[in-house]
Amino acid sequence: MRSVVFIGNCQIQSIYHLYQRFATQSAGERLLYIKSYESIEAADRLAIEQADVIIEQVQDFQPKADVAGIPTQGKKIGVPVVHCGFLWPFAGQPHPSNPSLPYLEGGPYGSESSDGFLNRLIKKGTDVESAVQTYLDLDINKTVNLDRLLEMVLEKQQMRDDLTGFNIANIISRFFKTEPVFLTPYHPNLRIAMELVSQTLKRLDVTANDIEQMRIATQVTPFPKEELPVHPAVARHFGLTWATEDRRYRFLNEGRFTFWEFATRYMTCDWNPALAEGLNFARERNLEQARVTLTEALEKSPGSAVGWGSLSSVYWQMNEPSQAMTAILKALELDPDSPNHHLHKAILLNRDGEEMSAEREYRIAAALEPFDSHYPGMLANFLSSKGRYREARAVSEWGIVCAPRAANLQSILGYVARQLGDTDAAEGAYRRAMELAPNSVDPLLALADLYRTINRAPAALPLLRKALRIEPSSDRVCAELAQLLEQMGEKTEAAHLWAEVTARSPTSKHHHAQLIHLLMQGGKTKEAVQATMQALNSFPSDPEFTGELAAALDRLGKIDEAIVELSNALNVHPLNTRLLTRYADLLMRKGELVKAETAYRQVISLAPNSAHCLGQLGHIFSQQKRHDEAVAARSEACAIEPKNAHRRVQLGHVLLSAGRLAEAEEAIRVAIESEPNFAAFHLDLGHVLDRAARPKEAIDAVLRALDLDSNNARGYAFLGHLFLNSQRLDDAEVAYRRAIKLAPSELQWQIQLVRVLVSQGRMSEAREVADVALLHDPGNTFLRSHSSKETSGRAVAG
Amino acid sequence: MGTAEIYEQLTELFREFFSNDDIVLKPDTSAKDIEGWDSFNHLSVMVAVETRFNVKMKTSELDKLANVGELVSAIEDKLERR
Repeated sequence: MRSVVFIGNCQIQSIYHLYQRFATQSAGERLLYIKSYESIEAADRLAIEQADVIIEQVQDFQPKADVAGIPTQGKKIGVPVVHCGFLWPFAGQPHPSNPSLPYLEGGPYGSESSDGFLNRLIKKGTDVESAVQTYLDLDINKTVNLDRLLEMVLEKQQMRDDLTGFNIANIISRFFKTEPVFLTPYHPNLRIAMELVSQTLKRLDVTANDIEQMRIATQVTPFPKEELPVHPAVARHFGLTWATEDRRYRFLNEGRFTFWEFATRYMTCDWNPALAEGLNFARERNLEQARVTLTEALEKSPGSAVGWGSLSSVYWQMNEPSQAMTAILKALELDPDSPNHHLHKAILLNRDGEEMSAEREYRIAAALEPFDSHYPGMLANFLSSKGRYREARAVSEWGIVCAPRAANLQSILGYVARQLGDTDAAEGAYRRAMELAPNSVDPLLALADLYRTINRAPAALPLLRKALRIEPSSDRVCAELAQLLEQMGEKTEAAHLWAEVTARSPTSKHHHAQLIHLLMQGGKTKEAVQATMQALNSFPSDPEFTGELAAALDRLGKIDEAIVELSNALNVHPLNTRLLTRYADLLMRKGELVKAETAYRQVISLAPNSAHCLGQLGHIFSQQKRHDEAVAARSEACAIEPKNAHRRVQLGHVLLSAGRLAEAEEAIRVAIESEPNFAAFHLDLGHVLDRAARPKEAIDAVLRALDLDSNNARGYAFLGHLFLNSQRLDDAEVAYRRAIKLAPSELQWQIQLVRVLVSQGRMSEAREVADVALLHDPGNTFLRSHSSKETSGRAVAG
Repeated sequence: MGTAEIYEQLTELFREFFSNDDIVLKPDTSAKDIEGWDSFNHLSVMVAVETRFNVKMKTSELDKLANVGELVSAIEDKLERR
């Protein structure tokens, strides 16, 4: 893994950024940029000591960050500083009133935008008009020998070139008359910048292909776009064809100004601080301040396309789309070639549902700047959001040709390929995105999600663990990993992760709910109670969490506490039917039938279609022998949920209790028709048939139930009962023994078995069974009377 | 031209160039002592010096000048050779 340190001014910083974007040698390469105009820090010193390669700027003056004395085995690559001082012979001394601002480093008239000649006139107190006129009338060549300055600048550049093996001086010399090779003394145009960067990248062993890709993709200078106007006399002297007197030069984001306008504004340090401040507010998402400040600023600088664009974005974020559209249209009028403005307009149109117009704008933005993956990416996302996956895929692939190192496009390609069912392509794209952006969790999450959905959960696990190493405090990553672990049955670790997330983000309701659900599901009821309490700390009296707490307490056997919790929550949410229902269920389970009935009736008054509550009411009525009401309630529940077989069986139960056997049989047979493989329904039918004194049919029904569920102890016991009543003692014995084997502590079945054996005269076996059963209930009179102890005692006494 | 006169003329030039009447040049004065004298305008200052004293220095010589004293010696040397 190579470590590369870049040391220098903004020129080296630009090289660093372009290298990072286009030519990083390997995913793990460590890169660091150190400002040469600031003192060197201990961490920087260490990085230099350990670096494999050091990109060091060769300057005329000793930089503040002097690294010459730092021991290192790293290979040093010198890169010449480039500048064009002969075009601005008076630049380099900031305006005497240049302000220092936190949001505009260097101020509006710092070294790169300064004029020493005007500074002198300002200090002398010359009035603006006279000063500007004096400056315009100045024969600069008599003050500064421009030809000598040109010669000296180029000679110095050549010396730096010779020291480093670069070729920059020749290019400046060749092109400075026909194009603005520099926008300010140290900010080169695209041509010079590309030369500087390409020659550096070549020394960093970047392939010719990648360098060519970088050149194609970089359509504007990577340096600041502000320009320092060239004095007309300098332009005339050198015969600069591009620096005409009416040429307008860009000043910050305020618009474009002629040399005369610039000089006039410079004299009074005139600029638009509100614009810079407003743009900064917008960057910080301080929307209201940004709106007010930018609106005020744009009155002074109506030609600021950037200002209008930013104001539009602010309005959009403030949900004022029509204002946003007005502002973006002004921005586009001023700067029709800005991909950013077209993109913003596209977003606004799409939001308004004008899809065709939006698509056109997305396409313009992407065509204007295809090498910036953001624009093709947005177009592809737009098409994907409309379900036009094939077109989205084509755009992504085209974008990747233009920007092969764009991880975002690989991720989009992965997504659309997945939507098209091409999981191999999706996997490949996500993997490339991971290589290109090794520190981004997004492709890791996307690929993990793909694996999960194609049943390759184990393959997703290392990806999510890696994502967690990259972003250990990310709730999103934690949540994804927890869900996967849950899916894979690793519930303990999943619960641990959910607990971590909820502790970190206690206001996320979803995360609390996930944790509680998982703990309840895993049978960790005590922990679930604790988790629910924590959730209720963040969301007091929340109906969902109170319900969960009640369920957990109930499960712990603390039904009274559960009822109290629900009752308290109902004081806050009296109309919450879920809480009321749970409350009624617990009251019913506790045997408080009157209170339960009241609560169920309350739910039904709020939600008349609550089949569950009607069914429960039916149960209460049945227990209270209010059979007609019970049948009516459960019939209503069946009417609400006609396809629910369980409701039909429940109706059968109350009909059975009411002694309406034929109707009960019919209800249960309807349920069985609907769900023929549900064992319990057949048992229910057996009970009805038993009551109807149709033992053979009852036995058939129970045998069918046991075919479907061979471990149903109650079923075997019931079968034993039926056989016993039919005097089929051998069969009854087998059935009871099977039931007891499945549920050895069921005393009643053991008593029945004793009876069967006694009826067969098999006293010794009956005693054996009774002896075992007595272990469960030593005081049982029947069993004692049949136990070996009792009978042997009697024998002794006899 | 004597050394004192060179210092006088050089001081006047520096005061004008850097818009600072408080500048007092001494032999050990260097770029770091004068606000604004940096790589940005070093060559412009040198061209102004050449113009003022009607001398021409080799670009390679400029890098060897550590302070004003050495600049004055270089000017004296050029003037003597003329």
